[in-house]
Amino acid sequence: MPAAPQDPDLRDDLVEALALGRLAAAELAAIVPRELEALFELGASLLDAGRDDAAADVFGGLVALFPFTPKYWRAYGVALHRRLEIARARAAYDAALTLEPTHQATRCYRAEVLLYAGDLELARAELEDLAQHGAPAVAARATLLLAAFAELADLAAPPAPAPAAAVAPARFTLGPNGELPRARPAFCDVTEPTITIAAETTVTARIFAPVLDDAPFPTALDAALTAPLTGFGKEIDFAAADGKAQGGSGDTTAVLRHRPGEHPPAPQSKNITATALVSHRKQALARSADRRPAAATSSGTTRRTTVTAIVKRRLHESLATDLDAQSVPTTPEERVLPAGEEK
Amino acid sequence: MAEGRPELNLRHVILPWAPPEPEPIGPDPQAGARLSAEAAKLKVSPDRLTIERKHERSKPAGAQSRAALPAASTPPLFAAATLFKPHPSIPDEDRAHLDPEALLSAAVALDVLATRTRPIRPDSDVLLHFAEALLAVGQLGGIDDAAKTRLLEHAASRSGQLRGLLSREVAARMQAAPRPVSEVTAVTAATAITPSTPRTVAHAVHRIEKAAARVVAEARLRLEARERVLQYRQG
Repeated sequence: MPAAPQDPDLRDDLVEALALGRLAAAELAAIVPRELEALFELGASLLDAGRDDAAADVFGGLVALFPFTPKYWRAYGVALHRRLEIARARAAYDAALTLEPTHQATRCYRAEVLLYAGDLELARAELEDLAQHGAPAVAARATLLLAAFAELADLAAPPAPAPAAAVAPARFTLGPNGELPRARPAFCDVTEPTITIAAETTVTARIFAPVLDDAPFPTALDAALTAPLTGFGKEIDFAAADGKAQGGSGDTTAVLRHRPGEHPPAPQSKNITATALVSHRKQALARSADRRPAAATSSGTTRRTTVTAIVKRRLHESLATDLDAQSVPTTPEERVLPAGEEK
Repeated sequence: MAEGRPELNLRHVILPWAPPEPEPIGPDPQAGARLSAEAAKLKVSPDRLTIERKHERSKPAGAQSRAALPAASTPPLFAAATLFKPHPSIPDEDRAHLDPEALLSAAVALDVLATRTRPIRPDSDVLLHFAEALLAVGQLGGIDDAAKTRLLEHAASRSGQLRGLLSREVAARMQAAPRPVSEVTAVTAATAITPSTPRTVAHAVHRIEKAAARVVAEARLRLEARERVLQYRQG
């Protein structure tokens, strides 16, 4: 290793002083206190930014360069504590307390890592002392930690068998009483009960559906509804309420949902689902059949028709204001159908 | 070994910034004996003070070692994956304004230091090589022979002796089992402290290199940001 020419006697004395802990590495390298403070502040700003790993790296180097400042050890302990490196955090807090035994925040943090490490009695004794005699901020944290003591102890217990996971419904349905269904967790928090209908829109779209001669109507499951519905993406699936054919009825209820992965919804529609009430399908289909000859398919007849759907947007109340500001209404006259299609 | 010097200072090299075995180890019953053997290899300097292995006791695993034990032998809450909120933070009274110029000069010094320490290996002369790297950087920063003499005078003074004792106390406290703050006793010659080893010193040097990489990256980002602002203002 290349080394600068040095007086061997001086060098060896300095190495000995370093080995005995009488000199710090930073002093030999002429890294002055102002620079050490800058390193500390850099680590602190990394910690503020949530970059705990980077902060731990900086503080780890800092205590190696100059191990005689308690706040460096304290900050190193905080960074390790945030990374849940419990034993190393405790050691760093202990180093800080050796240099500054009365620092209450350090004592509180150390008691916290002792809780994690399982030294419950020692942690509780420290926290109770701090809760009674500590500065307000420290006492408040110590009190909170004491309150959480039972919860932390529960972590040590063997985990309870997980309840059987509820099977998420494949699609939304209207209940027997017409109750609006709950949204899936992917769309919104299922614990949020407040849902309101913020807008009702009538849209017209083409439906491509196989029509069998011996069946009154195709199942809605086989239908694909393609329409640029405002706020719901350009292409959506069309599914029946219960997945069964709605034979005999001219009206049906279905749910419009986003085709996963293809057309992500707009950010503001994250918590929105839509219920479509498709009405007069039978009549619409019949009219379509009158106007255009059917194309034969292996499964029967495919007809293009136009259906009218009433789309009800269900959304959280908190988003109602945002949606009200958007242009929601879409009437059949306003729909723009692609060229070449029937109108 | 010099006559008249307290044996406590000469038997081991104990550095709080190079704690024993920070790397993962298993529950090896021979770990204590191996630590002592490794510690015996650590020479303070090639000519003067060679640490000999004698009168050493096997030590219980310190806090750093406990961190690496497998889950089966760890305390109940050790595997806690949740962190109490609000998260711990650096107290406001510790904070100050970040001096960008000082950060830049520290980054330069650490960059040079890391370049010089990179070839260091955990052999018996690790401390010597580390000190040589430090002194080389110090020489660039103005540490001449006169300054070295002043440093040695400080190390030999009462303040330096207290610092040495403080180092041992910090190391002992870090390695000891947790005790209440009020019950902490002073370090004595009989206090069992696991000494630093070439491996732990090399690990501490590696920590400095990691810190240097972070600091240099952050300083570079700040410099580039400043340059871009200047370019933007100049049109």
